[in-house]
Amino acid sequence: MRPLIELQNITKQFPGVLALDKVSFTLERGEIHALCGENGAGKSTLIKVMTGAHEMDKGEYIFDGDSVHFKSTHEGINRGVSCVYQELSIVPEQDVAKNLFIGNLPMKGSIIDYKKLYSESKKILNELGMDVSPKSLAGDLSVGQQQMIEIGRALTRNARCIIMDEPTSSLSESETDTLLKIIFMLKKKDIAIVYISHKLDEVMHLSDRITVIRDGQNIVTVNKNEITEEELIANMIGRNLENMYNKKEVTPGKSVLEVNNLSSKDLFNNISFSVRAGEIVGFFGLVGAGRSEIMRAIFGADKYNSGEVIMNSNKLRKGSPSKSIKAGIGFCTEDRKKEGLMLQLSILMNMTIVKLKELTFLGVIKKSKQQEITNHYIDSIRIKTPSANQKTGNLSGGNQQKVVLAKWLMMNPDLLIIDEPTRGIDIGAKAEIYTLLGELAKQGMAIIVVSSEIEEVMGLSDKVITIHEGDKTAEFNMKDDPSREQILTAALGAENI
Amino acid sequence: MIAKLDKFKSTPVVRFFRENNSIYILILVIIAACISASPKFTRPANIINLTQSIGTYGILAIGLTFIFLVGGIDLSLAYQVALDGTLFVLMCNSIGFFPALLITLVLGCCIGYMNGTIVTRLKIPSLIGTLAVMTSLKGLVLILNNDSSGRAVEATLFGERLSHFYNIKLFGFLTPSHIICIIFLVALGMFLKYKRDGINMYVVGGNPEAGLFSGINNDRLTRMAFTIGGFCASFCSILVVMRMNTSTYNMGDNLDIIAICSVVVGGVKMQGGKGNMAMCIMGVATIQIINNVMTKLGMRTAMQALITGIVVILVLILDKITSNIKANNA
Repeated sequence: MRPLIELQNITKQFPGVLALDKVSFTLERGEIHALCGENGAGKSTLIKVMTGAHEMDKGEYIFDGDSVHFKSTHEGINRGVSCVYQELSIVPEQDVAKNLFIGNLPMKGSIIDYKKLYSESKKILNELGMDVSPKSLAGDLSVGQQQMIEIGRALTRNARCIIMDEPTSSLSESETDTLLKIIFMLKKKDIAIVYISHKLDEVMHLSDRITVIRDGQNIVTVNKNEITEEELIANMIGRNLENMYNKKEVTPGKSVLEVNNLSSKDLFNNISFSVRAGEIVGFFGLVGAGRSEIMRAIFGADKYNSGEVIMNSNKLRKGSPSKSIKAGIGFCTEDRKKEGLMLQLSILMNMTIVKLKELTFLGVIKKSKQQEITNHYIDSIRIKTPSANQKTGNLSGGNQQKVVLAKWLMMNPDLLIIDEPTRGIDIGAKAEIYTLLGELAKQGMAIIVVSSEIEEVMGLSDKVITIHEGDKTAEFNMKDDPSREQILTAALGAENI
Repeated sequence: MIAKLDKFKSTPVVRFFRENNSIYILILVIIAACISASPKFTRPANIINLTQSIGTYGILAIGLTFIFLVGGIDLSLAYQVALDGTLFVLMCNSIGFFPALLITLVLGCCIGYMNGTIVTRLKIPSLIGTLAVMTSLKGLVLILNNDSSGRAVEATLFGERLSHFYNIKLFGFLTPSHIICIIFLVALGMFLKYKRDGINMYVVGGNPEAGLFSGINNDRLTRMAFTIGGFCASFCSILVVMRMNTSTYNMGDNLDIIAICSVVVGGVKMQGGKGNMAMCIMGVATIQIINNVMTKLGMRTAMQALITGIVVILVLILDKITSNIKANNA
């Protein structure tokens, strides 16, 4: 039997960029095919050609034996090509059922068939193993559940091929497990899956075949068991990556931050820990365990009920980020697009916005000084950009994260809190961020890294603290070489650690 | 204790209030306050008068609700009413009632469609686009209402027949504005609930990206919403003209503010994706009841405007608080 999708020598040109250069790709029926490559390698363009969001310039697209040329995603959907996008496309004020059947509502004549809508939705929710009423509002669901709705949507359209673009980037470990199970279930139903992820362990676990593209070209397509993770990485970045974490030996200095019995109703209880200069402390736990909430409370973005935060032996006032910044805390938030960056503005503006006061003379901004300081940071933390005036929205995820970092580094903080430092960032940029954090620690900065990726926490930190449902369950010194399982069990709240 | 509370929470009446906007509680409170504040409030004549104005302004607010639903705004609605009304009067006096009615309604749709086109095809944000249209329409209305020496004149309808028609009472209380408004509410409410285009409008306002990738034609639905807005404006204008028996150059003044306040108070989300006919009419009723009772109490117009503004802010605060409570309970 012919493969479900055959792409032959696809070429796609954007103004100034050759995004795809004679790329070929085949997708067998019912296979899970991982698509790997760094950001900007052309993965997104390739899947957009597959779904019909982009038209190809040259090449041939054969779907189920027919040569096709999709002019819109709608045409793609009608043939059975559905995509679950990285950015969720949920309509929050509508109920689950309507979200499932968006653009495809069951009709009775010219009127919507509500009975069928809810019964069909129920069926699909059952299939996905979701314990959610089809009538509940989609906006009230967790991010993981919303992701499932997107997959459910593909099912309502009788998809024969589902493309998943970074589906686990915002899921917790248990939600990820559920998702992986569902993917296997889809495979059994003879639905082919194109799976895009930066998380290579998932790719290795899940896929039947792996295709690597780099700089808009095919590099290799192999069966999973013919390649190791290291070879995969080497293929993606085109060179060997020795030690991702590149940790340097640092002797911790004096205590910078002391947190004593910090509690906030319903969010976390009795959290105590300390961070010393030059130390990297990793906070690990499931999404929703309360990690980010603790950090927000320390920083003063949220209030807490009891306990104290002591920064450089001074007690911090609660609920005042500006006081915390003055006391020397920098905070890179989890969602850089929402809370950390103004995507419409230039790198220069984004970096210097917190420092404008110091850059003014008689209330007028000293442009040259602003330019100089921005360029200094662009060089020192290696942001890839043609100029300081580039719009931040045009940068890749890794470079955006660096801009956020630079913004805080300018404040010369004694303590840097960084929440999910590498979410949605490709592997090369990840390594650079890790190196950068290592260098900062070496210079004597205290760093707290919050992450849901266990490798990251283990590789980076000197000390790992696990949080489960608002409680601190364990503290590991990485010198004692705790195992992955030990940390995971502690984070899952299991007893007998 | 908690189990009892949960049981209380799940009783149908309480659930209705929890799941809907706080406006329903508010409106009961306001009505109670109005009855005690002014004995004139409950007189049948006043009730009919009040509900008539709810009907008239309600139709305009219904149009605006659709535009809000798809995430747009139409600042020109008020002057569409003025222009439609003026032309209606002029045409009534020359070509007769029914042709005038038909042409006015078609014209309303055309202006609405034009606004929709400006927003979708020219990609001008609706706030700016309709602001420009509003200014032009305002000018046009002034030109139409001027005589040769530039003095503002009022076109008066022929005879008293139309104002008489406005006050016809079916079963002793149902007037044309009641009936038309109810027809609009029911028909468009059904449209939003049972027609594909209706539900898709929520998608356009709630998450246009999702619509795009699901094969929904966002632009077509946006134009449709603006067209419905224009159509409602023309109907509203005819009712306003009938009531006053004349059109004036300033008949659109404040209408936009009234419509926007009403709809927002009702709980329709300006950013799009949330709202329905019940919310819309409840909002209109709240604002009209307050205005009515203030007039009955003999308050000055300036004072009335001040109080209306404060009420709008209070409602929004109340809504914020209740939605926070809901979020915490979820």
